[in-house]
Amino acid sequence: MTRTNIADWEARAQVAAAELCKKIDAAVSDTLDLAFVAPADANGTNSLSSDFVDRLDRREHLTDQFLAAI
Amino acid sequence: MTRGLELTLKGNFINFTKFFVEAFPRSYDKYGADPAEFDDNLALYTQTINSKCDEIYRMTARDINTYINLYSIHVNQSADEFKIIYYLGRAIEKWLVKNGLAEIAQIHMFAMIGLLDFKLETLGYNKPKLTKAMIKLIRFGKIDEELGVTGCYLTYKCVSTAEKKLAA
Repeated sequence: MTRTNIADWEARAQVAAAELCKKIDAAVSDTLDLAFVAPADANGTNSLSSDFVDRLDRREHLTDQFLAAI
Repeated sequence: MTRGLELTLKGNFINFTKFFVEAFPRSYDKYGADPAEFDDNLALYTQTINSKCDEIYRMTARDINTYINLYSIHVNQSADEFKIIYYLGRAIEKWLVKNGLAEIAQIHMFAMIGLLDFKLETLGYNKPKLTKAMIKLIRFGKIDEELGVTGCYLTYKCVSTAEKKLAA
């Protein structure tokens, strides 16, 4: 696979991902009712790193290093 | 207000769904799937996630919840990037397989490993042997048989935390 083809694929995947997330966000925003699976005391807490998410948003992982070990 | 994990993490589930889809091309290339079928397979991948998003997010939340209860994880450690990537990744995989898309499920699992690797990389760790081992298990369809429900997650998580201790 050439670098050009990967770039083309990634451009199409980014469009598809944006469209998918827009659809999902609209679909689940009013209908998600999942209380039965969660402890009440878990509400409002997480330890996610905004820096990591920002790096993913900037697609820093989508380089030749991605799965380079295989 | 008792929706807990799901409402807390819903935005993250959607965000990480995007990251999985964006990683699909490189995973597809590494997997060695037919380039001529890329567009069709990308469409099948996103259509399946779209049609099963409620089920996927419920499964993800349920499995994270089961994990934190089983191991008595303190609530402020209830979610981290490894958990989101792993449990969301496995939930998407299961729905792809249920819909008869076994090859796309394996390509998706390559993306999951790539994202877990990137999380390790951001912490300063590079584990190519771990990557190779996980990819072999995925290709052989042995990840559940060899690692069970949490083994892959625990391996990545323990690598990150154990090495932090050693470096301290």
